[in-house]
Amino acid sequence: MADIQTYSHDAGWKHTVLRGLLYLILILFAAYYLFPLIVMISTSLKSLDEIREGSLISLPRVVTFDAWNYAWNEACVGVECTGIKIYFWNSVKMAIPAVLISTFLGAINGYALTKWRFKGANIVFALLLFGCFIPFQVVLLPMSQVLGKLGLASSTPGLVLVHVVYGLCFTTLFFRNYYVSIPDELVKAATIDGAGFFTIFWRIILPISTPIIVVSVIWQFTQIWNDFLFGASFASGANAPMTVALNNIVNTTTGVKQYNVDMAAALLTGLPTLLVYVLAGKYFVRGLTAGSVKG
Amino acid sequence: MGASQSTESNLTASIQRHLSKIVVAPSFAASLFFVYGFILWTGYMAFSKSRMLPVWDWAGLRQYERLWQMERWHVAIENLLIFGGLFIVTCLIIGCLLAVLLDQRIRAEGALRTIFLYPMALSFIVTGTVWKWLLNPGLGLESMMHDLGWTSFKFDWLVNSDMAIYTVVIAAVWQASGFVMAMFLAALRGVDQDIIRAAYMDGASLPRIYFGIIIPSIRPVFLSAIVVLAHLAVKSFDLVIALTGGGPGYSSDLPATFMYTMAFQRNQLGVGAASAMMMLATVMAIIVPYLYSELRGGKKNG
Amino acid sequence: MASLTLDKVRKAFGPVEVLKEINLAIDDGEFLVLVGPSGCGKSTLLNLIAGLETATDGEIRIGDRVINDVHPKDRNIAMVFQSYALYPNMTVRKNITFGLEIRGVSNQERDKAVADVAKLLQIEPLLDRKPSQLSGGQRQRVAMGRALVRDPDIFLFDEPLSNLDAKLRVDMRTEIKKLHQRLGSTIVYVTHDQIEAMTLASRIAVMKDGILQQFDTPQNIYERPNNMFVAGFIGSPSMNFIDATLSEENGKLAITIPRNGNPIVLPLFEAPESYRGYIGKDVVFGIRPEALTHKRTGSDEPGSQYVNFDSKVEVIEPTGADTMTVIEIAGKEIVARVRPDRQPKPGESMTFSADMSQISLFDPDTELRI
Repeated sequence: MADIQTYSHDAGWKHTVLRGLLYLILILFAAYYLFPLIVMISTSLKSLDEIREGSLISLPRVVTFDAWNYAWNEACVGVECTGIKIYFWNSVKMAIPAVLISTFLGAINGYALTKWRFKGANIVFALLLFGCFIPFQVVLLPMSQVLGKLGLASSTPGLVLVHVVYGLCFTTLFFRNYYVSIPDELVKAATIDGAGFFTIFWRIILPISTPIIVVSVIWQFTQIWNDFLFGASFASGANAPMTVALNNIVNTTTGVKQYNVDMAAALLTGLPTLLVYVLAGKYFVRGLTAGSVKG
Repeated sequence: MGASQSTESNLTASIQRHLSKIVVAPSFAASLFFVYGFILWTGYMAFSKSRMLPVWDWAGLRQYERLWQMERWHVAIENLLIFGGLFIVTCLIIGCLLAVLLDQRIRAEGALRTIFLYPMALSFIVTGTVWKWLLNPGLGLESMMHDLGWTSFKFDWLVNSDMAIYTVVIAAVWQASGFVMAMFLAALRGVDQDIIRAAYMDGASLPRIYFGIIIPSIRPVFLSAIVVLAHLAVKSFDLVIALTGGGPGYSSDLPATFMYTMAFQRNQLGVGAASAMMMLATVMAIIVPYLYSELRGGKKNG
Repeated sequence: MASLTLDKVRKAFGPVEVLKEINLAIDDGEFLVLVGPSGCGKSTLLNLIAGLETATDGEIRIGDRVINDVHPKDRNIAMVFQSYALYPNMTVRKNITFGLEIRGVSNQERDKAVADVAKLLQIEPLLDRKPSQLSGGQRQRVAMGRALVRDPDIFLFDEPLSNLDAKLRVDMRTEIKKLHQRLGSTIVYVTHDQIEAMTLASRIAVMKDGILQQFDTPQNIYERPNNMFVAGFIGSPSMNFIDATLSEENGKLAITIPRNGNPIVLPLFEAPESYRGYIGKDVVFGIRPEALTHKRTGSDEPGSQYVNFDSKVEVIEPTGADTMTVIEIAGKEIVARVRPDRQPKPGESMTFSADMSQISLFDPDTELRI
């Protein structure tokens, strides 16, 4: 599409003006997207007094990390005032197993469905895929019942189970679409060489799956870390994930509103996924568009 | 090959043949139970007399009647339409615009793309929290404008019953428009160059080429984007909770928050279940025809 | 090395019959080529022999062993695929020894096997590279190496040259032929290219729509095709088919081709018994371009196989060694092969000689050879 630049009929100064306008619009939009982030960081580094006296967009006169420290170690979530760090680790304990398990299951499902097709495989895939689209409100009630009966209510393993079950459809979709374009002849050759189902998976298919594994892991991590609905519904207590704790901190009605703490807590919650995005954003985008453009 | 050997190899051969099915079975069973089974359960609950605890006594359509008699539900539906409509349209326009602009061989394209997209990496809770601060009546945007000299500027939408839902639109658009841009950009890059060259040789101007040829040719992506955005809109829960809490009162409630409140806070399991089923029906009404047409028309996906 | 027998082999996918009763038998050391247009079932047949599919009916035997239910890895076969199917994450060396490793062959034996094969195929410098670093021809040879190292009873090739460019294809074809001569292995080779079939095979099986059309040596298939499909499929440029009648004059049989009131009459050189039943009836007259040439010396004389006729020339296509001359007879475009120094100008009329010892007659309804 870059070619189209050369097709513009405008020449000379008119062209320059339009290019200038182009950049201006883009920069304005960039400001719109960056503004909240800048404000968030700036507010979190101010003292409460400065917030009240100063303006929203003013940079902190005195940079202080007190709010960050408070958020991490002392903020009150419910009746416990031990900071958000506990909940950070809750999220970690929940996210890592959930991401790994759902990715692995998605891989082996995708492999089985594409390279060892059986009758009804398409129906199985369609039914699995369908589950991606349901509004989760419709499973909240029965899930809380089931978790209760399994003794997993308000626990991290319970959350892991929930995230694995509802993440399966996405990971299977990713891997299935990826494996479809790996030639079947690879599997045939390995079969003739004497390799079986699992040997082919470990030694031939998985080693060439790195791109999609990265996509799946990033997508799942983002979804699971950022989730609130499941966390609030199934683990709103000592085992709550960070997002639930954040909401709790921000929406407390008691005491003075500490906006800087709120912002610090929000940043702490958003940092992991933001970091992942900055470092591996290319794969993130691929994950976002992979499932949806094809519908 | 001895007889015993052949029965053993028959067994392993048999397992090998079915291995694929065995491997997929747990996920399939999980899907059947945790998705379809649960939908049936919730569906039944919507027909039951459940209040605080699930009971199995049949109540016919009473829960649905009660649902539709609640003003709060009507507010939620109305909000969904307002929010959904504005959200989708605005995201499409901004996304399309940004994609077209970024397509023009911009020097800092990579950096700009990163900037436009990063909000999607954040939790809706984080987004809601920061916009709640930005739109804070006393200390947020309003006060900033006052400081800049615009003393008559008023922005109390966050605590205004009539306008609260629009704050949700603002925050949601901020979060999701970058994603729409990414979708469109990818589609623009896939347009057949020859068509553009032909139009150029016919003397078409740049805007003409865009509006007349390129944008119509990526119509399928519009549809995909609308489906994804509509889906996001219906599911919106986190953002509302963080930004407005559904308030003031319940003026910015959406079906998702309504359901949660009814089921988990108001001891109205039946009504909550009924509202969940209504949400499901809405999502199905959008997704099913879309998937059907995709699978019919685009067999290229294997 | 072993013989291969296909006995009443059938393959159906649900209601669709892809292979309809195939009967074939080749001896140890033969080079069998399965050739035919897309969809004729040749690849399916190869998959049946390999064990990647199971036959719906019939028996497949290697030597005396019935292998219908034997797993591919136990059939002692090796396969080279169209896309080579090299394992992308392994070096060439690992690719070649993977199968041996699965079978528990010791390190030493594996190393020796790789060294031997690498020497044979001249791929020694490539052993530590990955497939993505190889050219098409190199990948092809590695794929063959992987097959060779198993020392199988039968080699299976599934259109191995289709992905190569024209020049490379010719070179590799010769290499495969040399390999066969050197190793004396039994080979089953699938292709849609009839030139490959003709040059490589000891016997060709021509297939169409799941049915074996003809199974014979290349020469026989070329000279005595069973039906019009085989006649038109094998040979390039393909055989000319002209609608004509078998006439009799003074006890001598001839082909009469109608031509606007001025028919071409070509007396037959040989008249087998089977022709008797068609006297006076319509037949399809088949004659290859190389049998239609410029005027030959000694033509039209008694006892000569060459019969002359005149025709107007439509188009000439010089190829360097010959000039393909397109003429029109009875509304059909016929191709003749003329020596370049005798080539006519388009629009001119010229005398052509038809070599009546190299013709085929076909029944117009059944399309079978008479």
